[in-house]
Amino acid sequence: MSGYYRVEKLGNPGVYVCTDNFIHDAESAAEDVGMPKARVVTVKAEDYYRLRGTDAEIMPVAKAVIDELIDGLKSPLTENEASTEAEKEDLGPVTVSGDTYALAIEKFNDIYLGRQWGDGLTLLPPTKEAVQSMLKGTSRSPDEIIGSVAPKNGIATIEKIAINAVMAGAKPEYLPVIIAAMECITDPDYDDLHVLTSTGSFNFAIMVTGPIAKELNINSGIGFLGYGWQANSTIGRALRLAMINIGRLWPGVNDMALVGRPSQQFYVFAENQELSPWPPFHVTQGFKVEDSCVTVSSVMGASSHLLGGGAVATWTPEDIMKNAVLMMMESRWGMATWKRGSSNPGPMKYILFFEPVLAMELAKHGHTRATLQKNLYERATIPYEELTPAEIANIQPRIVSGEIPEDRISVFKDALNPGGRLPIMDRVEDIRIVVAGGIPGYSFGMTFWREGLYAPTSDQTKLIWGATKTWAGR
Amino acid sequence: MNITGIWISIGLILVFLIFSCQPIHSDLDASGVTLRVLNPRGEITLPPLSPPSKRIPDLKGKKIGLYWNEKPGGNHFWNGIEQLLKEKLPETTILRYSGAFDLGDQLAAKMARETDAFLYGVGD
Repeated sequence: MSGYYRVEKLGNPGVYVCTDNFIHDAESAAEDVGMPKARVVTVKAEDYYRLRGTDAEIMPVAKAVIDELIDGLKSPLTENEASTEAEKEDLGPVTVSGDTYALAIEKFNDIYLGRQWGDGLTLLPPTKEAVQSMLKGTSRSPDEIIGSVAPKNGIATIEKIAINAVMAGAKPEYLPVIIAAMECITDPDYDDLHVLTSTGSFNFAIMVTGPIAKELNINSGIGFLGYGWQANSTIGRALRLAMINIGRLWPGVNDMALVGRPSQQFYVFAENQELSPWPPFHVTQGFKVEDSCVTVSSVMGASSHLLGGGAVATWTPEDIMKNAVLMMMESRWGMATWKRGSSNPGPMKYILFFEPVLAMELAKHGHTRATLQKNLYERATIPYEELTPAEIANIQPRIVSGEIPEDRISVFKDALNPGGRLPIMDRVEDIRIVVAGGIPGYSFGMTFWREGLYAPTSDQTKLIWGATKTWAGR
Repeated sequence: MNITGIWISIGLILVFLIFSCQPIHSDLDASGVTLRVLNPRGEITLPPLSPPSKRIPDLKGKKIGLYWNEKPGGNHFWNGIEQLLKEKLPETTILRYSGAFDLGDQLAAKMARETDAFLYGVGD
């Protein structure tokens, strides 16, 4: 809708076309851009997706709407369409009563869940006292603005984050972690909009690194992406509620994930620093070893690539390295059409979850994160002679448009000569290695595009600070 | 019963009536539980609202732009729309554009300059 709006505001009348199952999404987006009465014409989703394969098949769908489209361009605006009055929203407290505490809680939940202010599970009431108690977990001001949350760019203050944390059942000592995660998500360079609203089941992987992870008992061992750990579960839930309430996200309205987002509380876990042979991940992002940080990464939903390990099959480190290269090479499917801002915006980045024993074995052989990144980057390449004409043709536009980083252009140009090898990624740093899990553990990879669709990055790392109830993160 | 006794009896009856006529739950703060809960919604600063642009009653001789974000299959739909527009509005010119989900300011300006009206689709 933002593109449609750009042309409309230049004075040209237009009609936005979408499927009927996306009408709420279109209306919501029209509000967001400031043109709530944008003219929208829908086609039947059940016909469009099924018949769009050929000109002949889709023609009846086009015929069904052509008159409405022409009329949309011609017929004068109604009084209602020409109006620019906006309703004022009441963001004040809500009062609920019941004969007993249990009945009051039930009524509170009926109201909040009924208004789509929750995630479908029972909420804890964010009374003033409960929120004040939550705010004692940070030394930061309740009025401090952290950023704005997609899709409606709701303002995330520390107080609003705390209210949602109370509703999620989080402890005050978790608040600094939740705030740092919110700083990642709302960073203007981070593309939260695509992850939160796309038809694909994309999600956030939220990793806590540094000493605060142990103090808060954030699981990093067996079951680290699963249930049962209060910190992992409620930090994730607080963030999900913040997305719903601060960003105004709702499934089928502006979160169009077709099968939903498995792990609705995101993937919250800690790096297993106790068993890792390497410094914490955040050191690769320029932070100090002793710091505590949160890294939020966009990942492709529930899909992960098993690289090896576990309690059944045998494996060697080289098996897992080979499987990592194979996983990276799978992204070649889109190489000929990578284009910034499109639905296939560019090369992937990879988060490799190495289980502790693998990491220790690799370290014994002298490997660091940097040597492994270099090793994998050099192996995930395609001989020039095997490149298709379409793949070669797409490299030059990527260079011209600035999509390939300037310091990497020579690598790509050199690869386009006999004997050259074209890398599947733009940068060595697009491979990220974290140590997580217990013993035994699985090694696996998660992927996402290196660049976001609506903002330049698909991951962010932020320092946790302002903590008052833990030794770390102060 | 002397006069004092009568007045005392009347007073007691009045006191009884006053208290017995009160509704059972007239004040939930006293006899129930009241929760004042804070609002979890983030404040939204809406951009200045604007209505859609003025329509063009007669499209004869005008140029219509068709924008599509290159999602697979959408080209077939827009081929159909182009063909039908040419049949129904033979004296209009159809111009095709494609690019990202959000076409960006540069392409928007070009499209606005080259066309009089437009249709915009992103494939969903």
